[in-house]
Amino acid sequence: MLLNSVILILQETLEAALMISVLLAVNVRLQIKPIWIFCGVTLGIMGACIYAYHIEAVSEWLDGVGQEFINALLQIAIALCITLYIYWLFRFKGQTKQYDLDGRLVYSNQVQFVLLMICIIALGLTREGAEVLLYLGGFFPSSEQRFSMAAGSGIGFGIGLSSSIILYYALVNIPGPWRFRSAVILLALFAANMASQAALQLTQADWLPHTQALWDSSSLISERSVLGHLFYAIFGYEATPSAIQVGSYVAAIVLVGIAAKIGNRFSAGSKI
Amino acid sequence: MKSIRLFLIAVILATITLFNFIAALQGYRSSLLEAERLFDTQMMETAEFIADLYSENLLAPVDHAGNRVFQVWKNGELKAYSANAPIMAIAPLLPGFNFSNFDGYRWRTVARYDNQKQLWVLVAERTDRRYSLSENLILESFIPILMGLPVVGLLIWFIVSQGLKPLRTLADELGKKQPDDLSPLCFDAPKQELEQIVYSTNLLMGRLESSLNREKQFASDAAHELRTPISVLKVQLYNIAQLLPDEDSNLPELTETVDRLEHLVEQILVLYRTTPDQYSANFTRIDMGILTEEVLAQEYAQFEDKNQTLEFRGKPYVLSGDRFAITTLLQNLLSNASKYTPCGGHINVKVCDEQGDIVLTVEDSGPGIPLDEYQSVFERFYRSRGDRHNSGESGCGLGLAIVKHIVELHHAEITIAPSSFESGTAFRIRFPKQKTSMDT
Repeated sequence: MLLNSVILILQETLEAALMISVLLAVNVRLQIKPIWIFCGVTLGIMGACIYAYHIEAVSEWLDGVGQEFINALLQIAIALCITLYIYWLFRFKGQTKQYDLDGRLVYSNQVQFVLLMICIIALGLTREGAEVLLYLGGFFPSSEQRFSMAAGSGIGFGIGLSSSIILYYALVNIPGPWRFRSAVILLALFAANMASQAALQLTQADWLPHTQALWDSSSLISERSVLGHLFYAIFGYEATPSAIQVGSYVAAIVLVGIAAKIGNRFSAGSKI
Repeated sequence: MKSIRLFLIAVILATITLFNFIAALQGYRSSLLEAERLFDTQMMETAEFIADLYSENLLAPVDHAGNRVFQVWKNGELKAYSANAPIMAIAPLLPGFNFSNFDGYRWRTVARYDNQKQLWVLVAERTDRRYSLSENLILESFIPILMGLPVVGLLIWFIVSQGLKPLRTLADELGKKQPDDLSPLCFDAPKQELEQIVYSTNLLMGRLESSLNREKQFASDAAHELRTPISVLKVQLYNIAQLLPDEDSNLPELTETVDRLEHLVEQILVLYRTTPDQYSANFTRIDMGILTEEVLAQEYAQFEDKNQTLEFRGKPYVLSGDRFAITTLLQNLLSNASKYTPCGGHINVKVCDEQGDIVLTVEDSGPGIPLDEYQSVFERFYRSRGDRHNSGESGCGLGLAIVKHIVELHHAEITIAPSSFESGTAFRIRFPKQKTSMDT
């Protein structure tokens, strides 16, 4: 029970926490107040509660694949929001405020960044939070092994949170332009991860064809190990990915690259 | 990274948590395996014990309903069994450990063949009970890790705060220093990491103090020493002018240059005197309205010479200030306005009360100052557009630097904005309310 709790909570927490820590690190450069992150988190928790409460009804939609469909929809929306976010980052070269010589604020482009960031966090937490709530709600009240479940959840949450704190400070302390580039690369990987997971959900719902696994790397890094979960959260590691998943992953990376290129073309000013 | 303390606490705590939890998980996994081995050993010993105990007389079921079941098979016949065991073989008759399913549960089984008695002893245990038992045992070791984390957090917070205390003390020491206090830092026995900072800061303070003293002495000496020859020069120029015929046109330009030189020396002296960290101000009650009127009357000639229209609006407003400094401020602002306003232009002077603050505004209809030069005009020897505008005036570039010194001296605030005329500049000085109250 402990191990199961650790795995489930770690998987869900790590993904959301790492994404939030990357956005927080980008916010330092964009001079966006961290309070907006909390707005996204609050909305996400509310969304998770609503989603978890209606999960039975949702599951019955579309001939019983409603949950897979909604999950895929949320993941595609997150991937698109991240793509748009990266476009704006390149469009404004990471500068959202401009001051005159007297130090007065002339204009600010923070609105689109704040809105996209809130969407990314809220949508991510809605899906992942709902799964955590369902797991905890389903087992906790009746389980005999309540302590083992609580300990497992605590450990999973602790590992996820600690990893994200270390990642945040690592990103903030990266010198020079590489700080921003690293954050953008991580965001692009998150977008690709979301696209790949959405493909898996749609395959499970039989909306996409089942294809054979392209490789099996479980002997190298097990999906159930802590490293496996960390890799899964950062770049969507799967030991046995299908061709559709790999295709979606690559397509998302290409899409993000195109968005960055277009943003770069429309921008004016110095390079990031 | 705004706070070093927050950074240290967060990263140390996160690292400890991460490695502790990962180590705990690894410990949990290996402990589970160890417990499995222990249970297996016990099962095997039980099988051996049952084989040793077995005799042909023992044929009835043994009344045992615990977590463990056993069967004794001989020549394909069930010879003995526990009451909670089924009548079918609970495991394949192959020596060693295995798993099987019966009675609605999954069981861990062991089969042992006794060569002497030629019988099979099968023993089984419910896997969920074994797992639960071993997990409960291991979880006991988790409690200190989980419960200890907040204590570790508090300890880290305390240790980091203590570690950063000398840094905070040093920052406080530096923060408490007055602008004119260049004495060495009193920092007894600094930590090794701060030794160099304290040493370098004290060295810098010493060098800064001697440099400031030299500058002070130089400015004072130079200005005083220059005054005398300039006065002599002026007298001699006057005498020469009396001797030379009127048509000699070089003398007025020479006189004008000497006047400018005298003005420059006077301005340098005033600049030095009004430097906030040098000036010992003599704050008294000043009626800003009346003082402005007086200075306007003194300076009126220069406006009249250029046929400029001067408008003054104001009432008596009392503030606490240094009369000499405020007079100099007004003189410089008015001289500046007159200088850069073309002949026939307009100059407005206003003294008013805005929410308790006294505001002095001097605006002109001159060419104005470009937006990008607003901050630079207060620098010493800075001249707008290099004095390339068509005012025909070439100031020494110290007037507004002096004004800024006096503004800082009175804790006031100066802003520049376009004037209400078609072109020109408005200087606005706001003397704050709290500073206008009388100290005496």
